[in-house]
Amino acid sequence: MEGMSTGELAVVVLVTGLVIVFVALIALILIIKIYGSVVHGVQEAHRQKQQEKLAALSQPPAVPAAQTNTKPAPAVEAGIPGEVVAAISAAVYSVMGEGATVVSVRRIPHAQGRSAWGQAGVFANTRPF
Amino acid sequence: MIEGFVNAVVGIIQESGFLSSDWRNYVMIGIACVLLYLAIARQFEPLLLLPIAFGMLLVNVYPAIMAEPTETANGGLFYYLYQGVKLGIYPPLIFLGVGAMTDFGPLIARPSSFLLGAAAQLGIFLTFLGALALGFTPQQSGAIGIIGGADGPTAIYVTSRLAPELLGPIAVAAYSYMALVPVIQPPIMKLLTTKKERSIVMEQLRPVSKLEKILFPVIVTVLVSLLLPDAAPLIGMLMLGNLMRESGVVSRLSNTAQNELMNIITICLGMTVGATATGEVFLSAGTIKIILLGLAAFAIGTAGGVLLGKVMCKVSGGKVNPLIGSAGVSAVPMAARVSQKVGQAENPGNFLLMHAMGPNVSGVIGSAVAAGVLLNIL
Repeated sequence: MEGMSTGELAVVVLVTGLVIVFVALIALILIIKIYGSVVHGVQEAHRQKQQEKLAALSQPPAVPAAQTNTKPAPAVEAGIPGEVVAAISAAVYSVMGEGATVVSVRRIPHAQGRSAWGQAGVFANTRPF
Repeated sequence: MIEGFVNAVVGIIQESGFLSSDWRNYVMIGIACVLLYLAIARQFEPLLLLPIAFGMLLVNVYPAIMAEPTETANGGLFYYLYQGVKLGIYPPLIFLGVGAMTDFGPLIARPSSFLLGAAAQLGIFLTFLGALALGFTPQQSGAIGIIGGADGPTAIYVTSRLAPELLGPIAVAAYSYMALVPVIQPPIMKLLTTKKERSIVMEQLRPVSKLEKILFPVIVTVLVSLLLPDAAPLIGMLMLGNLMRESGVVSRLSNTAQNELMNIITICLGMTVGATATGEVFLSAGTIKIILLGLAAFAIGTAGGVLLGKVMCKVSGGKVNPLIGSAGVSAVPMAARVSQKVGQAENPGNFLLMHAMGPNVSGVIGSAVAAGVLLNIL
């Protein structure tokens, strides 16, 4: 900026400063909007795919019933409602995948001390690196 | 033997600070005590004001603590610690911690907040003009203008590169005004807005996914550093800290950056910046001008943000509360809290804090960009 008068320098700094700050931040607005919509779109598509998968699983299969009943029904302890069995089976499926089979569902007597959730918390917090 | 004792005592008295200090040092000790009072009793930015005030006190009691090394003697303790300021090391490290503590979610959820962060930088550039008019050099004017960014580390970084001789007055002005944000901003905000505008309740922000938060620091670093390489140390460290936070895979590093590292650097930065405020440097007409210009920079920045907030309010059909614009002057999170407080005074059921955090954190990026512009041009 050599050879410039103070007045010229003042105008140059004022105009350049404001223009660059606005241009940089407006560019960031556009980029964030673009990648925000891309990420949102991708995640939405993924979610929809998963929902379709779940819906397909819950629908009765088109193949004859005899073919689908290859896996034995789990042995369910008396007094456990069907909804609970369905929820447990869905949880097992979502964690372990298609190969897993629920063999039996039974109550475990309350252990002394921590609950299952408490045990899981302790495990998560004390697990080595 | 008695003569030897008397000579020793006379020698100690002659060497003591009581005789070697001049009146300006005593005035500075008084100012340091006032700042200590503000930090301890009023809790005005105590984390920074306390070490700054004590550094100021110490250097005016014992100036040799900032002495440069000679061929025969080592330098003073603060001389060595001050190299972190002089070489521009501390401010980016502070930014690392700030990034690790900042949630950019509200800004990603409403990217238009960037405009408010940009408008609030108006104070920097208009104050630059004022400083030039008052006879400061262009470099000194740039350093004075950056006070309007309301961002301590950025002010110190720019001043240490453009006008190191003004570091003491500028740092003290910047941090004092940051502490006084709740006093300076509300009258300006009320003056520029109507009761109806202040009562606007804004819509809830959309949830931001983890992936968006992880991509944000990478994108900002690349774009801003390519556009303004001079801003890269500040923006790069800010975004590194944020990436460490959002990635979730280096929580130990993130915790260290926002706690231990931040605290250590704050102590070193505060003490040594305070120690630049010696009597002969600080007590001059120039310092009074800097203090006044700093106040003007803050006020103009606040007004710039609020005025653009009003424009956005009109354009959006009354969906944006203009009070969030004042948070565009960094001062995280104090300025956002002020927006919340002023908004809630009009409508107790209005919660503007998260909406104001968007402009607030965009102000940090905006002032770093403005710093890059000043460093590049000047």
